[in-house]
Amino acid sequence: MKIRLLLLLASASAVITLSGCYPGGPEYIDDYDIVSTAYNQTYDFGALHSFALPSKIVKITDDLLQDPSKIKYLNTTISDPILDRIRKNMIDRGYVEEDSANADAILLVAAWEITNVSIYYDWGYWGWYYPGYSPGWGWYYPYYPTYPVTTSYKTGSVMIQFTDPNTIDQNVSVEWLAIINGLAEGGTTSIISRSTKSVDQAFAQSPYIIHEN
Amino acid sequence: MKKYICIIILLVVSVASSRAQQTSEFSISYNVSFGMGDLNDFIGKTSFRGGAVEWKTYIHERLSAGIEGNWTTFYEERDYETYQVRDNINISGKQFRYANMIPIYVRADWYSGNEGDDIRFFGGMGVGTIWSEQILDMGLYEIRSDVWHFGLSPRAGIKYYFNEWRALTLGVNYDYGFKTKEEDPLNFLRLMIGINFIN
Repeated sequence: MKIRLLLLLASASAVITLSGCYPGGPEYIDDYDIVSTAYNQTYDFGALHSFALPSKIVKITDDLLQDPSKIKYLNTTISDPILDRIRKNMIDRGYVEEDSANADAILLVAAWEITNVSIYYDWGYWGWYYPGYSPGWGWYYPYYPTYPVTTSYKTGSVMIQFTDPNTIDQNVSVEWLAIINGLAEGGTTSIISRSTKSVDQAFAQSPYIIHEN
Repeated sequence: MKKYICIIILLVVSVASSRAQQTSEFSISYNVSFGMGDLNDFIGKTSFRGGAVEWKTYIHERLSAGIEGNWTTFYEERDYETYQVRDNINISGKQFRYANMIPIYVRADWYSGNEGDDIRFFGGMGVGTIWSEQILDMGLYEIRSDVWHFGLSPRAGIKYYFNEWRALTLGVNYDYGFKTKEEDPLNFLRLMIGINFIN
């Protein structure tokens, strides 16, 4: 009887010890950061000369989903460094910044923080900025699925869309799409640092975005 | 397939029970495992997280039959890298890869020497099933798959008897899970060190 008890205890100890050894996975917030990019392979990024970048990042919230006219923007403490880093990368690639009416390409940046909500991304959010905008416009993405959808966790995402205003035909063609995603946790300094680093990564993994003389 | 494995296990247990008056053993072992083939491509790192429990009875002085269950976890944290998902899609981030292997075998082993020897060599074969789970975490997303394989596990080793009640076992197992509709075959090598409680 004693031996059986001993064996039972030994087996239970082994199981507990093994489960304690189970690998823990990510330890730091930035372990969760990912950057995905997609692009239209037939589009000639090298032929463009100029780009335009809004001064604000549209913040997509539940309110905005209910009423598209209630546009909110990301706090400039966070949005300015992100936009500056996008600008720097574009200039480093040989493009010149222009106003939206004259630019060859327009980059649109949106952000959202989400917990268990699906996002519907609407063209109307950019009506205030996009030249010649008409209600009812749609999107052409360089890949499917079209609408970014995410669930669970408190996550933050920044989406950069590289569009060509000269290709508008009811729909705007998104020639390059970058989505930066991670945990919306940590202080402002940490979020800015991680976001700008991810913007650099988005461009680093997109060498085709370069102006050719 | 699971039906046949259950039948085999029942047969072995029945035979073993009928021999219950003879020597039986219970053992616990610690396993270090090396992934091979596709498993090695998925996780290249050696697993130091593994253990097995086994019960066996001696049908003959040199032949034992029993049941073994073990659990091995492979794990690898990949550095921040860029992966090409499609021709025009890239994703960068850290990947955390896990593979859990839980084989359950009925085993038969043949032993050298005679009862009472301090050292005996053994070799044998296990037949059963391997439950395999592979998990890939990247960012907040996870790809997970699990499957049951029909498994074979030849092994060889040496057993040192401290006395008639306790022994130390050192051995090498090769675990092979056959191809399924969903998954390619998997295989890994296990080094084991274990303590045997002889009844």
